Amino acid sequence: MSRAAAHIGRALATLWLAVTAAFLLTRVSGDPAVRIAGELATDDILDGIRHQLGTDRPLIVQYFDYLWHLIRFDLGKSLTYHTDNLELIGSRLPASLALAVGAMAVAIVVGVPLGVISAARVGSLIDRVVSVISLIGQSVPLFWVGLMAIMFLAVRWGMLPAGGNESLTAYILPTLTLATIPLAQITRLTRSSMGEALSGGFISAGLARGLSRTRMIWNHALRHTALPVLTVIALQAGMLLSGSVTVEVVYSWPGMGRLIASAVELRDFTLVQGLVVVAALVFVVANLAVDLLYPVIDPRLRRSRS
Amino acid sequence: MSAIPADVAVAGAAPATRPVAPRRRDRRSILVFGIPLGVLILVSLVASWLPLPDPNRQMLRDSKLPPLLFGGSWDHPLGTDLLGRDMLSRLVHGGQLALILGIGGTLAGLLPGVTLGLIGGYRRGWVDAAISRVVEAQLALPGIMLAIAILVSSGRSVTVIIVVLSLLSWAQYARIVRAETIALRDRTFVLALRAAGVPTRRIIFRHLLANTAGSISVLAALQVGGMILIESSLSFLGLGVVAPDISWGAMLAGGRDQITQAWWIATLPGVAISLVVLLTNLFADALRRAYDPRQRTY
Repeated sequence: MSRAAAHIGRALATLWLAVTAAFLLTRVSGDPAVRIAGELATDDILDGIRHQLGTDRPLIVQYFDYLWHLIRFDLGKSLTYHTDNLELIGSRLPASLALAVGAMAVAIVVGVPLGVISAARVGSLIDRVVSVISLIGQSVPLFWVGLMAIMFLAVRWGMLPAGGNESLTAYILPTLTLATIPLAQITRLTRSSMGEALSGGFISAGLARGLSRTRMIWNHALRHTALPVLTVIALQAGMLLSGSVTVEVVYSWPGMGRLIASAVELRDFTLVQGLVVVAALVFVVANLAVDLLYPVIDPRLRRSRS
Repeated sequence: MSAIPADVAVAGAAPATRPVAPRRRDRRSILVFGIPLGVLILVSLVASWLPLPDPNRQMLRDSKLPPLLFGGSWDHPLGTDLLGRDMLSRLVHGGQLALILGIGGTLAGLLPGVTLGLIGGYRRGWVDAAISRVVEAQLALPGIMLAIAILVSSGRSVTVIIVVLSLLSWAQYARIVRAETIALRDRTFVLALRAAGVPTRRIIFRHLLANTAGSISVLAALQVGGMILIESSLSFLGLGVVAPDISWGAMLAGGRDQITQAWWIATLPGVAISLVVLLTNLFADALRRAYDPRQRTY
């Protein structure tokens, strides 16, 4: 129980630091009033905007005000949409989460078996093909993959819709595009941790007792890859939300990514800040969940800590 | 470097693993990927002296000319964009920026990251705890969103983008270097140095740094590609460098609306980004295999 409390405490500390960084970076790096009003605005106008935004107060007062609002789940009002930021983000979050979850599911379902197969046959043709493809997957810009997919599959051959999320088929291209990076990482990680598991003594022991190699790989060794793979899944879960910015823009996906892109265009600072905070929260929660899951999955961790 | 010789690692290896690949192959693959990379770097460095048209010269009469193989002419071997600017020349000049930001961003993140990692790993205690918390917080902030937040509120210049790139990458160096330093700090040679009265600063920045240099260079090589990808995403979103500076990401974004009529405008910069990032990743992978004995059996 105390271990869980320690994890939660650390997650909160991390979240506080992240939130503070988001505050400092958006405040210190420039005067929002100048950005909103333009370079030619008079001092009177600037002062008016500063007063409206509350940026005329001392930084420390602003900071505690910001924290106080955050604690009450208040992300402020959007400068351009004139609605509550939380409501606005909340209305876009499901579309982004659907995309992220779908991409992660594809990455796990395809990536883990590929990694296992390549680790079981190191140096074979399939191993080399898989490692070259996963390296390519990590090297191409996602939005470019998206554009190419739209050009060929949607425009030229008319097989799939090019954007939006009205129909179920509209999910296919964005999900597959977004899956590229976690897929490559999960494959590589499964392969390397599987390689380590296969060199463990318990594998030789199992083989000596006459268990089949297939069974040793898929049943016994695979369990040992669960922890590292789970860790990378949690890390990627946070990345997916931010990685989806360009993908959502390319596919006109009505999620958080497109919201941040338009917030950027409209110089909507409070909205940008709110989005960063929400994304950090999702990331921290995902990692906390994994930390708490470790002992459930790996009995060795349960015993050694108690 | 880890002291475990390759053959010892194999003796205890799984029945599945094959004999260790000869190191010569790793050395060769460094050259195989390093030489084309070097050529690309050289070409973009001397871009201004090459017989190429001015990359920013607009010629509306020549708007959207196709590449040579698709009905174009030798005047514009890779075609022209919407404003009639030569694609080949723009791609070559765009390489300069990718190079500056890739290498500049990597180094700007490497220096603080490695320093903090070394200090945290060697000192331990509260210094280490503080550094570790900041590293975790940094990794918890979604990179692209953070970059967007900074670039929206401050100006957009090469310097600002390098600072942003360094913010996105320093934590990874800190984490890896810290882990390696912790493993090294209790080794006999460090004890011997301490017993001989070598000052702490010298132990950290000379001996421990030298011993982690292998991992650092591999990570740095891997990061260069990542930096180029991040920069291209930012440019694609309209947050990269401003004209007349040429960025592959911005070229790609500019071709997005033309994709049905002039596919090459968006396609070619994407090919350039992918090719350069793939080459650097392959190069980094070859480096890793050659200099990290633990990885050699896989």
